[in-house]
Amino acid sequence: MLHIKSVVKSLGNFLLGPLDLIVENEILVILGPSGSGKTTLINVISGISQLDSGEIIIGNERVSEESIENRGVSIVFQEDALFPHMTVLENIKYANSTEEDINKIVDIFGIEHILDRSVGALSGGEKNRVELARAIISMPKILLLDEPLSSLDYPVRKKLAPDLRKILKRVKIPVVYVTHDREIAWEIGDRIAIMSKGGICQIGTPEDVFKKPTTIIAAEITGESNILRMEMKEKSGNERVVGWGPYNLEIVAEQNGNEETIHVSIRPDDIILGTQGGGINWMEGEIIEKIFKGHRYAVELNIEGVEENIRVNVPLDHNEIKNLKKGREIWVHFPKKSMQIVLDN
Amino acid sequence: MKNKISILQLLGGILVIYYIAPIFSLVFWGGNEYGRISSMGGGISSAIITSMSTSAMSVVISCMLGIPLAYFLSRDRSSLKDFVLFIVFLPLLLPPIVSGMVLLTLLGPGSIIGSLAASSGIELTQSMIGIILAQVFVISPFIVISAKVGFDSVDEKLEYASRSLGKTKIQTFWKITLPLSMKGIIAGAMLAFARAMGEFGATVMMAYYPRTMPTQIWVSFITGGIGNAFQMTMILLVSSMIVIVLIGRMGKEIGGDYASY
Repeated sequence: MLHIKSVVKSLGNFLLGPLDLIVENEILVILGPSGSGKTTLINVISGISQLDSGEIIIGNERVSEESIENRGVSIVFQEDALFPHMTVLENIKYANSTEEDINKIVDIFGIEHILDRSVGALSGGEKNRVELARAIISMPKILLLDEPLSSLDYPVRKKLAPDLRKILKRVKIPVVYVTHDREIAWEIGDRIAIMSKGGICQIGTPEDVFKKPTTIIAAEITGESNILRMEMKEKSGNERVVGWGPYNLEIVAEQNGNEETIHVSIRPDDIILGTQGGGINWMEGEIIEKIFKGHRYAVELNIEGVEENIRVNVPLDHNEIKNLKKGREIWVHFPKKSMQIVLDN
Repeated sequence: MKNKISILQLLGGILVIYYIAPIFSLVFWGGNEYGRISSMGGGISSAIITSMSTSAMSVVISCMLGIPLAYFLSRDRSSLKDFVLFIVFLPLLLPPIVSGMVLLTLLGPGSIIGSLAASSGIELTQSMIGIILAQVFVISPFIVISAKVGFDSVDEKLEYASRSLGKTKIQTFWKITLPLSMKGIIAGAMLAFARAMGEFGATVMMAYYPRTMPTQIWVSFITGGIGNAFQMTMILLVSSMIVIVLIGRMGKEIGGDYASY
């Protein structure tokens, strides 16, 4: 178990924390944009950087003052950090592991055929496997993975990610995996923590974080999202009526947005287009643009009386897809439960 | 396909020719004047032994002290680093004869350190120790600067990865940092040895005796001209070349491709 207690680390103008986090026997993905403090967090957990204040507990030991080698952590970095003057086998043996452990890990990662190769002769995917094998064979109390797949090509990354999750679940070591790639986060994480400006702004299961983002950054980094500025009109229990231009929309609030002006997030996939409409949360709009996106079309719409345009994802088999043309007027529906009040941070 | 010579090759080639032409000229001169070249007698062997042994010892001492300093200069992030680096450059800025003078003021017979050493039976001037002290002063910056470049080229992530695999800082230094920096260190050792073998100004100030090869060449030259100094000059050239090749090979044995030249 990893317990991060009120950790603070400043680097120039950047401030990490105060941060509290508990990682049980699970894969926790830290998802955040560049510059949000993900790598700084990895550095303070591993001991590469010293804390300004707070405490780090790994297992039952307070390790905040310990050097890297005494913390029981293994790190896999974004860029290849295999020892280039050694073969694959020498890299794996470096952690003083037994012959039995080596055979086991070699089998798990399927790297028997490259054991005698020099590091320079490996492909990107092979390097990743060897580096992960080397990190795991040292049997750390915590495995820290700093975007280990990000340097790989998209197809290789897509192929490796599910394998990686299976392996990480098999070795049963608590994992902190940092990434800015939401697809990797969905694929690998048991829980996802959204990181922004040096803090964790939301933490939960992948489904929760995707469906119910609590901040603007969480909504944006977990998927495409329309972030719309609205006025709070009425509150009743967890029901709200909000004003958007000339429209009064009903939403179910998961969290308070007490200010008069609030931000509401709605995914482009959740917005419904129809030839007929009317009633609660239906509005009339005009198509500005239709963009082919492979498995779907992205349709940009202007809602009558509202300045902000919205984006709607429409599946290729939508019955009106051929008629969705620039300038066409169409009915637009925001389902009540698909709208989320999101905070600034 | 035509092999065109680029401007870069041309400029580099001029410099190489400028290095090698005087040596060919000397060899050619020696061939024509062979009859008039005088033997240097017993002084040759003792000068060779003195130069070889003091140069080797100076390189070893410079490595022992210079490599840790280079590692500090490469990894330290404080402003102290810049100041120390400036100090390392100082011996390179001084003319060798001036280096000899400043060393004499610190270590000469009239100095506190010199007289303390003399009272303990250790002569810091006019001795092998004096030669080594002069050589280390002059050559060690080459090792420090080259080794620092070598350490700079090693990604610190490799060191962190090693330590996260349970190895201490010292173990990481020996197993990861040093082998990967060997190219820079070997380059520094080669430069330093060559410089020590040819060192004259500081050495002659600290120790006229025992004579090193450059001192012997100087004495031969002022007493009998080039003909008198020819043999020793050729020996100095050939022996230095042999040792530099040997250091290069030794580096390859230790560090593999990461030390090859």
